[in-house]
Amino acid sequence: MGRYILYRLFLTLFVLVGITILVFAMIRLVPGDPAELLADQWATKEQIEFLRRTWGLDKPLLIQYLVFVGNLLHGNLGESIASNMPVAYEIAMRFPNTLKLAVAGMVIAVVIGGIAGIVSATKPYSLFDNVAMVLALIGVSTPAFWLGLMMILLFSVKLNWLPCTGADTLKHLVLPGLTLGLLAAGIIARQTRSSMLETLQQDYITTARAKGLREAAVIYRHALKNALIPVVTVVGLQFGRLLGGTVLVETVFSWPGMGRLMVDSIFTRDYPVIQGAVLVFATAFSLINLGVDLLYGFIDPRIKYE
Amino acid sequence: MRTLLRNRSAKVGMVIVSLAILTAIFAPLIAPYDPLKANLREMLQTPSLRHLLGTDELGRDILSRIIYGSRISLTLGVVSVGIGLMGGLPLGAVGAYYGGLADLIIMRFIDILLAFPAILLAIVVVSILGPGLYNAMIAVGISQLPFYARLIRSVVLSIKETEFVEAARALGAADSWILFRHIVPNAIGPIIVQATLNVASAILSAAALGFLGLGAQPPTPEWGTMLSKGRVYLRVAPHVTTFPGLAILLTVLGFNLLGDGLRDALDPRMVRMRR
Repeated sequence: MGRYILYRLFLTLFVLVGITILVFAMIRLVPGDPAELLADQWATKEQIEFLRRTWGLDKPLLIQYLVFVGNLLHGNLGESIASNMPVAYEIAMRFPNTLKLAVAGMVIAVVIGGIAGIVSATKPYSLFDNVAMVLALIGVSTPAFWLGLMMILLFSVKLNWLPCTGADTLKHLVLPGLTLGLLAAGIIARQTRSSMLETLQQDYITTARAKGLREAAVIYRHALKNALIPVVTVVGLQFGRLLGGTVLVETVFSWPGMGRLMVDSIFTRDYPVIQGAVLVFATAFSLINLGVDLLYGFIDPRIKYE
Repeated sequence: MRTLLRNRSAKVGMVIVSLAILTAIFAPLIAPYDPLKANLREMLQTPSLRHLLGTDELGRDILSRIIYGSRISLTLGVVSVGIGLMGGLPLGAVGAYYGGLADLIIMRFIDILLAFPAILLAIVVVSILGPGLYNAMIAVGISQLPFYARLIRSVVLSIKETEFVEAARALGAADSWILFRHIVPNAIGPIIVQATLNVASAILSAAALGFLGLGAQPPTPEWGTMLSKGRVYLRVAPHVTTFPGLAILLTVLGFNLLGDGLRDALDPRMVRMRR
């Protein structure tokens, strides 16, 4: 187990280095002089030269990369072209909002998807099962941005129940959270159902029933725990998808998060901010994947890491 | 095919996908109006007999734009999947077949790509190439590449030790011949399932890029772009956003149903488990 954790940590570290290489390469793949791309369009020649020196852009690529990583390790992601503020500050202001949104979405997804999946599996081919699985498939097929707009239309415009923009109160979180959550709930419901069905056919479940255990105890004490492992994988993967989905949902609900910051920055060609946001998104996703992998061992002690 | 036709959801999926394809092919015959022709005297009209799905902010007929949009969305979906396959297939196949250092390098590269949620990777590629329809196809294709590489790697790994591969090797066939003539064709089943499901996610991703303003540009009648333009009028003319979204939902649903049905047909053990 210890060796596996070390191996997994090493692999994550490798991926993180890879992410920095990709982000580093990004700006160099855009046609044009990187120093000019990193500078304000009204920057003077001296300012561009200053940037070139700070980021070592006149040096060989390897040195440039080392300077880039060195700056990163000091929390220096450069300065936003649009606001002239440090990118690290811009991101630090918005990351908590994105995280709040993603966590809210995940909680909604796990609760709705989990319950629907369990009930469906215990009553396979029932009316509930059929309706739930059709809804789950529709959830998987619905564009996040459209669902968000339809939520605004129903709950903000028609019923006037909830606000559609802003991030000040818990009320503001409901619609964007629900939009994100409902999309992921579909996949979680499908996975929970199939995993539960498979587990319910195992011999130890028959034994538990033969012992005269109540059905609820069979399902919650014996089946659910064992059915959880593939569900955890899907939840982990969905968290990544949710992080990506925040880019769309934040745009729809004018949510002041990192996704919206990134999209706005693409239009203003604010490359330092794009780089910073991509770096943070990818790092967060990798760390979540690492967490999910390590979680397996605790959920299912049968798993032996080789 | 018979198993596929017995599967009810696969049948529904096949009907939806066929309808979408037929709409795309016969768009000029079906569409009642020119999808690009503005008519400011008829802007933002609600659905009526004259304009079944209403008109948009420039007075263009939404039904005609959705019909023509099916051409763009289906092309985006299929071409993106093609690009993902073209990139992922050789990477996965070569890695699995040769193993060792080649496999190690390729798979770590794939791990790095997988560190980006798919839509984020597509956005990164668009921010490099610049917004536009063709760049969106490339971006979505690249974002799908790692999934194909992984899938093909696992299939090739299971096939490369079989007897018919041994026999081909004993007959003195070259590696590239064995790989692409003997191994890859045997992996075609799972690839088709994955590709069908991925057309669905590619259409969603491409529409998302269009919605963000990073994909197809106006006045192209791409569904995501149409939705993006219409959201400004959500309060006064919700139909401008509602119908393109429904078109995306239906098409994606069709491909998802078909993909699920194909998977069940190819792997009947899963029929009871997965739906």
